Amino acid sequence: MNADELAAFRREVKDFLREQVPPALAADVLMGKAVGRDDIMAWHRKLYHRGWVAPGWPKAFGGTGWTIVQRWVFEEEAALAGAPPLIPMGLVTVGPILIASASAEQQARYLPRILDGQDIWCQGFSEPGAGSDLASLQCRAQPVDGGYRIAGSKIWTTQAHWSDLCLLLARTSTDGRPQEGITMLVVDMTAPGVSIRPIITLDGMHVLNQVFFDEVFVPAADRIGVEGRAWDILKSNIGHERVLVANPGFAKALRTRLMDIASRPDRSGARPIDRPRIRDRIVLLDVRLRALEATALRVLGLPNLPVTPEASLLKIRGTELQQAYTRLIGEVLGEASLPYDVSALQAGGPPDPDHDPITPNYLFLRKASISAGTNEVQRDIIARNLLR
Amino acid sequence: MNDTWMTEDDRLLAEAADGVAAEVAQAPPAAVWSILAAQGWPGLRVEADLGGFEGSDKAMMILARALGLAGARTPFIWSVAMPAALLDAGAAEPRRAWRSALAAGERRFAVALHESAADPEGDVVETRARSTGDGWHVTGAKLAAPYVEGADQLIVSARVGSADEGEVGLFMIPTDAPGVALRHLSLIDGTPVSEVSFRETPIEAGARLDEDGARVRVAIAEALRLGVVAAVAESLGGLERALAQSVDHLKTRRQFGAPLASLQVLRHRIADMYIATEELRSLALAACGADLDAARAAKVYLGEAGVWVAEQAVQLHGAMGVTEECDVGQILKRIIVLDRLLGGADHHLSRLGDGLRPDARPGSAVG
Repeated sequence: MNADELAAFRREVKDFLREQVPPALAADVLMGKAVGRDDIMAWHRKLYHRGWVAPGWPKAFGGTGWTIVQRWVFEEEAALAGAPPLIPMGLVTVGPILIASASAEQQARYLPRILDGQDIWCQGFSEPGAGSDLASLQCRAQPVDGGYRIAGSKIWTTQAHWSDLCLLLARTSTDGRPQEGITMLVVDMTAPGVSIRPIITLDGMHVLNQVFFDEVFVPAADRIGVEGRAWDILKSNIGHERVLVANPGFAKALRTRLMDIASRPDRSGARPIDRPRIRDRIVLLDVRLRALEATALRVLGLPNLPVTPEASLLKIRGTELQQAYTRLIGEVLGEASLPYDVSALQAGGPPDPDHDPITPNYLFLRKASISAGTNEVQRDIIARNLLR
Repeated sequence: MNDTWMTEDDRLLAEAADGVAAEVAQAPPAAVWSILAAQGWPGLRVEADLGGFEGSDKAMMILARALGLAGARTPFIWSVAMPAALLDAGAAEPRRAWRSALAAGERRFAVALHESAADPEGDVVETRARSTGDGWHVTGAKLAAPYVEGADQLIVSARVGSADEGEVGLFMIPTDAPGVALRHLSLIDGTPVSEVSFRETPIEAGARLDEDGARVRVAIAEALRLGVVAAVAESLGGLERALAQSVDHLKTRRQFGAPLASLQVLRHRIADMYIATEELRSLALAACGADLDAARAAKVYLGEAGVWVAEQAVQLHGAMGVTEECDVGQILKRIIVLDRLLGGADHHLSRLGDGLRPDARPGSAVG
């Protein structure tokens, strides 16, 4: 796709977003408020009807067939337009894994229901004793007549409480290397023995969960791929998330929020932007944002980008920048950033610029450098590449 | 490290530039200009019909980076990149003559614009050019300017007439003209600089480059932009070399029974050095063919992150890093010099910050 085609694509995306994202919802999203499931799923269905809900899937499975550059443009424009972020697991992780490794029957059963929003998925990978180190996971899947019995627990499970299905990694064998003996299963979240404990994050909100599996039966038909070979499936299917999480659209939306706040008179009547020190700090972030965008532009076309050190660079810098913006916005607001009002965090209330939920946003975004492979793990990846 | 930021043509240019830079790095200082001239480098920014090769900003970046990679010290920034912009200020005929002289490399120009340490933009001009009817008398002083020593001609800004608000013109002054006094110094990295003063220095009418001052401000800003992009690109080459040497050192140096490369604190340091270097490359590329603000952003990052990379290269080399014979120390010196010449990070930061105020000129925010 040449520059003209890409510009035309960007215009098409912008036009669609302008027509389809409800303005009040966009204002709430841009203000950092939490959007409820109904609003998210309504947006999901609009994208589904436009054929754009699964940018990462091949066309044959109902995806867009977009290049990574187009996906990047789409994510950037969506963030700038205040489109609510979709519930990501089914679309970003589960779908591509099923497309690569599930049987045709499984694909026919699950994929259409991800696309049209009938099924919400969560991803049961991390455990209390296995975060970035998936090879050491303990949750057991005991082979029994006709299937498996699951015993164990998963943690940091995003939106498990909204989910119909869980893509689970469980240990079917303890022989061999730690990476071996891990099996991928689909668990019905309504099955007997599944229970959920909410985990409240620092912003006071409920997104994360711990999920317990107490002798939960999973039919053999719900195993994805070969028993004990989940590691092979994972190796080739993770990494896109790492790249997309670095999308500068979100950082740019935060910059707009920062400039709005800095350009308005504060409680003393003075504009923060008139203080040279504030300007200097904004410029330093601008320089980093320019660097992120320029880096993305020149590496997005790399073959196998998700497994390159450049992908780790984008993940590190993209998430650091999101964190830096939310911190600076809070500092510019000063004491006005401190009152905590949970209703100010929920989308749908009246707009109130005096209750910008920046500090909860800042606290929640501390997770950005932890999830999708911690930034330290990303540095390990870069170092391994340089020092090999 | 991937080189996908270059096209096939860029790679050919880079290969050729690496060869020239390697030769220059071994040559005695007095021979450097003739090597560059023999390879046509002075014509980088000059039109093809005047003997140049009409190189883009990116071509300039590739040449400057090659100099940094090789550790070659040349007057490239001040005698190739910046004069090309300044020689653009004038009317058609003298402009063509000066530009073909630059392209041929038969005369070397140096640039003497700055008069105030607080003003790397060259806005402050108190040097005067008084008309004598058939020429000018120039009187004033310029701060230390690089590579004046051995140059044939100085490109000098001077206020025309006597009024404080008089227009600023650009003048070509032979370094051996009457009334020119030079005081030579050497910077920390060996770069020769000279304080320049003029006392009733007589020059002929044709030595004024511009016609009426109208294009001088634009030409000086463009010279600054090109100089900054070239300085960042040369720094990038130096930092790439420092990073590669640090990687080698971590892999080969053993302490406590294991290679340094096995220590995670050092592995993460080298990862951060890589990230900063790649970001500087991105900003240099983004500054090619872009406005002065893009160049300023790259220069800010050179000071904010590039200097840190060079410091860390010294740190990772341990005590060897602080010796004169270890290359990373020489790179640090060069990076420090390039960071501070042409306006340091703080200067460019504050210029970018001025553009942020809602009532400021438009177009300076991130696009």
